[in-house]
Amino acid sequence: MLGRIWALMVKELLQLLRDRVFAPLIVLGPIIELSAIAWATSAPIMNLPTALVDLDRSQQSRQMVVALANTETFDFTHRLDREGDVRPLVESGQVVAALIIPAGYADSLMSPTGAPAQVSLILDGADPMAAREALRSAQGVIEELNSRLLKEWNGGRDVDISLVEPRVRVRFNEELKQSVFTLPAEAGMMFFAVALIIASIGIAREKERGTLEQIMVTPVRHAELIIAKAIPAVCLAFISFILMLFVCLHGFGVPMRGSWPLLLVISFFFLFVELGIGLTASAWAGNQMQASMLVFGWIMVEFFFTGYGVPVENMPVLMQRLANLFPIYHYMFIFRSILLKGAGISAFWEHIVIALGLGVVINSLTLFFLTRQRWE
Amino acid sequence: MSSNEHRNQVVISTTNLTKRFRKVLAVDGLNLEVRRGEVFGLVGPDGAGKTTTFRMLAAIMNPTEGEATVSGFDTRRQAEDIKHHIGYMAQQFNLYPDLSVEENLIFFADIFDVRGAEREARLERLLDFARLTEFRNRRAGHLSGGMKKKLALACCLIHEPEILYLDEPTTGVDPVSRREFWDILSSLHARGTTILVSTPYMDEAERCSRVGLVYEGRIIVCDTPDNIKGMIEGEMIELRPTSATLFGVGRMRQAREVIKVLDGIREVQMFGDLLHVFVDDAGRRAPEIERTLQRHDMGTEGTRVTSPRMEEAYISLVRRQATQEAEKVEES
Repeated sequence: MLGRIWALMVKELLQLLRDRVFAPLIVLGPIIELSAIAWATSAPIMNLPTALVDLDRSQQSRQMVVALANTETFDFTHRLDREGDVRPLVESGQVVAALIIPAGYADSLMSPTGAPAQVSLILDGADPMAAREALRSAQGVIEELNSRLLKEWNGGRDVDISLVEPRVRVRFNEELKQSVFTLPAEAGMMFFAVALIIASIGIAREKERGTLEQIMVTPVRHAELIIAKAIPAVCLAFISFILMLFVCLHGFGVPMRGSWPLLLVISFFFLFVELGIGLTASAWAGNQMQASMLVFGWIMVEFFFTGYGVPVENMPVLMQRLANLFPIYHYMFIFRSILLKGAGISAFWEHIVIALGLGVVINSLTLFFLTRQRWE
Repeated sequence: MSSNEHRNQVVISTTNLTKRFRKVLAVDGLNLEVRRGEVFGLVGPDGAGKTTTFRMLAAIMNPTEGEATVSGFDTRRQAEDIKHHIGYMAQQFNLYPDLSVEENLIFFADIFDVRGAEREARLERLLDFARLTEFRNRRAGHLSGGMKKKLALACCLIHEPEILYLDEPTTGVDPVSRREFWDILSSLHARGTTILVSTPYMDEAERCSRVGLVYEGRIIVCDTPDNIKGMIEGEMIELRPTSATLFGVGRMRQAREVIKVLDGIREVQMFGDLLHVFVDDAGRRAPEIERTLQRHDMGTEGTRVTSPRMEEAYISLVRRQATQEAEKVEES
């Protein structure tokens, strides 16, 4: 039995090495993709093209403009004379923000008894990330301005007008860096995708070429074929995973606070759960094309539950329940816990139990589909 | 056991073997006995159920009804035992095109647990046998059609099976390679390997020890090629009708119609621009046929009397079967 598995594996490896495109693509592709995403998301949002309509033209209004420009969030690319000219610029996407300082801004500042001075900041909400960053930056500048004005009126002494001052402490991702959240999601996703793609091709290719028929008239058993197909897939996916982790940790500052052995063992376990899906698709499909389509469909759905787009915790209750059926949801929870929080097994054992159940069901299905394969 | 008894031992036997795919009846109550050391030919048109029969006998497909034993093992319950005794060469190329000739052979050797010095010895012998020694490092996908077939055969032989299934092994192969392939089969036959081979070629059918004519999933005749040819009574006249006014199929049809109704004519088959006429007495009927054609403004060329070949026998037997079935349908 071991001899046959070995022979099948050697053959599989030879075929993999013969293919000059597939193996390099499957190992290096994810790393390139990951680096590109990390690079794109790790840079802070800066120099948003902004339109300025300064109808006041006072010293105070210029002070405001300079303060905003100094944050480097805004880059005043357009200076306009009429408020009506702002809209076309925003619509055509030439600016993502516009600052309008109405006439009489300085006067109302100087009369602290009257209504507060007003400025309008128009933001293009089509890009929420940029808009949120712009808003945060502008609020900061205005608060700063307010306290400085209060101090001036108070004859240079500090005034504390806040009744409640929140002291927010962010844990595990102190700088609230987007990449610390998205990179593990992306890496986990691609780790699963690689395993799925390799596994999905395995049996479907033998079927397409007719070699499965030839194998079936030999003493090779179904289980032997599955094992021989799974091992190369596991190896390649794991190599790819380690490389991706390396890129995340050393290239883009994602922290590793937990235990390496724990992370690797759990990743290895999840790989087998996911492989079952690839092999089932492969056994079920008639050819490689169908198998790849099936697997891509599955990846799309799983991607949804990585929390990459919307965190699963923010989804409706029904969706949260549904997420339990997808191994990647459990894996991402564990992966982030170990990576960012340094958590141990006690923090996520429920997820492991559910995944174990999923693994048993999925791999039984594989065996069922494959043994049913006869020429009917 | 005396060697005679050994030779007469039945190694493949099927009783009422039937396979139904949804609505199609691919194999319909097949009864077959193949004895040790025979070259048994399954001859029949495309879609007659030959490949399905092979798959059932190779124990990779279960019959809907009936049963089959191969080397004494039941194909349904003892599938794994059968696999060590058979070599199966499928109709299409079933090897790894991205592996070399040698790697393919080594792979199948390892699967069958043929190892070490024994593996090397068999490898060399088979490469030599299939005349592939100088191509041993070539990728299987880059071989010519004939070489692919020989490699496939070599891969089936690496575990030295006692029974060999060959599903149309020479279809799409040039005539020289075809002959070479059959020379290889002859030497396997000489060593005592039982061979079950399907073929659409009648010259190949004539090289078998026994032939089963398959028609719509049933064996309609099963005998030695000589006996099958003998089933066509009388003699055969071959002639080429000529005409100044009628051409092509029109001429052939016209000639057939006027000959068919003469006395002593059993059957008329068209063969391109030749007519094969089966008669009770060739010496007497040949001049009559020529005279009749002349009356219809047609001449003849190359008239000769020959004995029927497998091809004529096959067509005649299939036609007879089809007529009988049509009558049966009418009766009911």
